[in-house]
Amino acid sequence: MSAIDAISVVLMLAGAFFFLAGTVGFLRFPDLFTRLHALTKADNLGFGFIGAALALQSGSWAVAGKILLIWLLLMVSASACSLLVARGALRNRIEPWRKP
Amino acid sequence: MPANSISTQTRARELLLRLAVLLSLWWVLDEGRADGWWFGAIIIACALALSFAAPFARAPFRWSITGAARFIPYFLYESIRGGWDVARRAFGGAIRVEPSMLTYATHLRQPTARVFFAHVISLLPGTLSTDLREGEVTIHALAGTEAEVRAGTRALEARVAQLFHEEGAAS
Repeated sequence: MSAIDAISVVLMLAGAFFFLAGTVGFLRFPDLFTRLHALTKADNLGFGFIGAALALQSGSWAVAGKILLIWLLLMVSASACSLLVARGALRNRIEPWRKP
Repeated sequence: MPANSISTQTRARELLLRLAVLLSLWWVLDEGRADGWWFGAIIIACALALSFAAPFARAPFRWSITGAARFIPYFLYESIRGGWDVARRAFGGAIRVEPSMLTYATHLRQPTARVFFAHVISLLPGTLSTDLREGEVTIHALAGTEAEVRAGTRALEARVAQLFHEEGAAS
């Protein structure tokens, strides 16, 4: 196993960890707003790490650029979606959960 | 943004910038092959013309390369902190969240900079934009006191101001 393969494995595992964390947070957090936190942050990071591993494995700058582009679009859509969902919820008078 | 000083130089710079962005986009989408260059040239010319057509033309904004160079490492570091923070709270025995809401008045002037600011807030640790109107962002915080959340948001605002050449804006 080359050094690049080893680094890719580490990056993949980190990505899988953050995807799992995002999903666990999504299931366990108490309300819509806190769940959006879990999705936007952990999932972007999950894809960031897995994308970095794939870019390393591709061995091509153009393919790496394509993965970077996908990551950027993913971040834009994730944050835009969460803003729209949260705003829709607030305007429909959904109260954020407070620690009792 | 009122178009107060769009000089020929600014226009030329904008044209070259968009051409460079479209060329690199095509190169990336085509995965570095060069055999379809003539088709790419047609698409790029159409996209360039379209980007200046009225329905798609956006308010011009100023941005700085040094600001971007400083912003990227900061953003990556804060993203990792944000993801780690969520992971810690998600895997903890009891869910440790103490959410609160606050409204943050931004000093950023350009609409593009404000929208960018609101989006990045959601990707950074513990904060989520829930609304943006005029110069006010409503923020949902996962934990922390209001002062802490405001301080973090102000630091981010200063970085965004650097990125968009609005150094005087963030105080």
